[in-house]
Amino acid sequence: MARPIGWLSLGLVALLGGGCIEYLEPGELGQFRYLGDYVAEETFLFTRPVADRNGAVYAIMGDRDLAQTEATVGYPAGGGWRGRCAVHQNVDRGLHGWLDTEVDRGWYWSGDALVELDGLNSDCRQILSRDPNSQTQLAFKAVIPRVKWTPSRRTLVALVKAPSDPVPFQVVVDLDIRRYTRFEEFIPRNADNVVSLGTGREDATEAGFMVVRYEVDGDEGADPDVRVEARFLNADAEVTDIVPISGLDAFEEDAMTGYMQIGEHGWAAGVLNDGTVLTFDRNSFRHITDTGPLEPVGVHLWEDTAWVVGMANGRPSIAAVGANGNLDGPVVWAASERLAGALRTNVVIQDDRFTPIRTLSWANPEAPFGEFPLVVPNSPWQYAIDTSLMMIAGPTYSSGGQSFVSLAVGPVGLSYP
Amino acid sequence: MSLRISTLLGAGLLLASSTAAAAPPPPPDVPDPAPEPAAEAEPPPAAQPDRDPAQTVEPEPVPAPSETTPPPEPESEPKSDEKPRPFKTDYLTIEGYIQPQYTYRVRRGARPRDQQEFGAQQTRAGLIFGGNVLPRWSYRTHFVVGSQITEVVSGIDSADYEGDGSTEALSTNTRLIPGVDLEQLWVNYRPVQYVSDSGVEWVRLDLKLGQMRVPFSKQNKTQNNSLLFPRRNAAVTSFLVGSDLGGEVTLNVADERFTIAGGVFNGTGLAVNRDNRRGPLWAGRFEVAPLGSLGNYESDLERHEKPAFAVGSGLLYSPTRLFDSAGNDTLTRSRGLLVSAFAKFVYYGFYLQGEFIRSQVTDNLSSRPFISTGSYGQLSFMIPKTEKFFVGPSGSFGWTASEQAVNPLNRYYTTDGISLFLPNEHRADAIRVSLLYQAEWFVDEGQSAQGGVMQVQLKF
Repeated sequence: MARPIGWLSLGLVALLGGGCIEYLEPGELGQFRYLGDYVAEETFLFTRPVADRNGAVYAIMGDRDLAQTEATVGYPAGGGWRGRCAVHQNVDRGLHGWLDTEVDRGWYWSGDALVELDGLNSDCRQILSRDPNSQTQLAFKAVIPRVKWTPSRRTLVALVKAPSDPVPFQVVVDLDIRRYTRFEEFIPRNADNVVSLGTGREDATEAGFMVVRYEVDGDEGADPDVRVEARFLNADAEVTDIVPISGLDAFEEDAMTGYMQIGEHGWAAGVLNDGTVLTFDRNSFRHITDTGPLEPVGVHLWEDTAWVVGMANGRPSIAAVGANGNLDGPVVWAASERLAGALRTNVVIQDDRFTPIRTLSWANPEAPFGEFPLVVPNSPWQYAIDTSLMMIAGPTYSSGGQSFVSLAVGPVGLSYP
Repeated sequence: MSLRISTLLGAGLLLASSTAAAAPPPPPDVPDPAPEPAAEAEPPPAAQPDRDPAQTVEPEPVPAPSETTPPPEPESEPKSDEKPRPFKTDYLTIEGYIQPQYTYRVRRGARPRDQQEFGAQQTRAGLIFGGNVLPRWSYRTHFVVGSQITEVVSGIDSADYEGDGSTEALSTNTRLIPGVDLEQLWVNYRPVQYVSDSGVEWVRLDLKLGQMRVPFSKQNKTQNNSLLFPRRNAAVTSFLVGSDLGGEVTLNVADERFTIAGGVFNGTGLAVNRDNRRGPLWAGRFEVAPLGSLGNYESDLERHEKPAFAVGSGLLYSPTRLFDSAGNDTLTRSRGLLVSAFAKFVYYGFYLQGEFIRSQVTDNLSSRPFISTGSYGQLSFMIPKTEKFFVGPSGSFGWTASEQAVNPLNRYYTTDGISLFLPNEHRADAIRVSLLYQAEWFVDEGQSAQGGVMQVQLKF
């Protein structure tokens, strides 16, 4: 009789101590799943895969300069990949990437379109493609990449504009009923050519921020006054703080390589497409044009610290955004190098696209974007404790004069210096 | 051999609790499982008044032994907490409860339609049939009936999200209709029972098969009409809901001072989707009450004159294979492990109980464990205001944290208020009227709700 009690006690102690669970070590590969074969476009962004709370994995292919995108969902527990969602709007803008996920949904922003992908049945729908009142087409000029989720509703904050609107509107979008529930006109109302350079999320305010560029007519005959501002918004789509930014007049729409990130010190950071870094808080900004040996690619957020990620001297490197908005000295990102080493071998891939499920072995797969794994514009998705998701590129082949590449998605152990 | 060991252990427990008084008076509710019946040949016991010290109902005269049939042999004497009821024979006992309940709740931050909830939707009733068909064989069925307990699709509407007159999707209309839920449906066989001449039940072994609550959590094991509050704490229902199908073995030693139970179930009672999972659910639980069994009733209507307590722990293990929606094997193997621990204390009307549950689910594919934790504490104090009724202030506080390996969702719950207990000649809580304040805070999701509940519970 003492034996069962002993086992029960042992189990209790083990569970209370968090035992029995082993997370991936930094640089360790988990089980990858065959995503599919895609046209091998060198400019494809292959943005970060994400996952919802149920465990479904979402992948998307596209490019900042290509008016084309394709999203798919991998059902949890090896249930296969379904849906090839190709909703996009506006031929002049490309893919921005996944915005956020919740229990069983993922949302992406491509061109001017906000799109929902259902993680249960892979159904995809464009949200608010038309204004319910005027029936004119709506363009999502900027979207804060954070969904505020409560048990009864899901909302996000965006900047939308109809062709007839002189200025865009800041709106709260109810993602369930697909309507905007609050709206506020962009100020100043005489602004012209309002565009977004980039957006970011801030969990503390349940919304985020955006950097906008607009023009205001000057004196008659004079050139318009170009203004660039960082604007912080709350969950009601109200602007709470505005930080004027100088020196970025020449940058155009979607100038940030990926989403901006804000760290624990309150400084947001983004990498511009000329390789410079913009940091700002609610009072001031820094335009960092000299990053030393670091060639910035994007900004990542990991455990409340914002990191500028890039290459330095041919090695993956990383620099933290400091408490004063400047960059700390870059250091080698060991986790990325370890991942690159882990890929220099045969990687077992589970092909669960169709049954019967089989396993394959890919020799020396590569990161599909950039020189080293995870040196990408957008922050890796926090999939589990010290674990993220990564896409890898396997065998290539040609068919009908077109080159194709096999892609797989799986978990990887991750750490930041 | 095992019987001897159990007996020795029971004796040790008894010695260890030498300061304890005799077994406490019977609780005001029917314990689960049903007590072993008297031999079939024996007549039903004469109706006895409730000897619960909490009750002051005028006792009825007890027939002299010579006026009744001889008492049963000690070995077959029922170790029973049951009290006489009007609808009781050896073969069939009918009992139940009715719980009309009115709820008013305000949920800030919700969609306007959902910001206020009111009505008596949660009204329900339970109908329990139990009995004994042969010595050592008993059965029990427990139906839960509600006027709005089953949700059905009542129609389909077209959804025009864009407002342009075109149909973008179909939405289903649902409504709640009367329904019946099966809480218990089991047959119990008792192969071993030893009661000493002094009336101490040294050992009892029960084998149960059917639908029942799995032996894991103290409160989940407690029946609907024995709860302190109208519903179980969310810290428990986040892990287990309802009952499950399977078999259970229960060993009670030394007048239930030590209980160990184990079984294997289908796993339908887990609060997770198991549509495409297949695998057994192994459950085990032990409970130690050195000063005497406290049963599963939540409160101290008996007003124990000496302090008494119970502690215990439970373990669930659920290895499953995962299949896709077409029924094909995904090669994914999942492992669910849950552990619980509880403590209960009663003394002179004061009741305190706390429980902790932790769950972790892992698999060989995702490298993503699902970890959740929950705990609650609740207390009450029974005050006899007059000879006819008790007043019992009570309160509880619960906490759950789900998906702790990624983005933890912390939720807090509280229920506080007062209950009035009106006894009859059969039980101390024949009628209970509860007025309660309820609140929940979903701190990581930015939503909260507050409201009130009035529930009347009538037992028959």
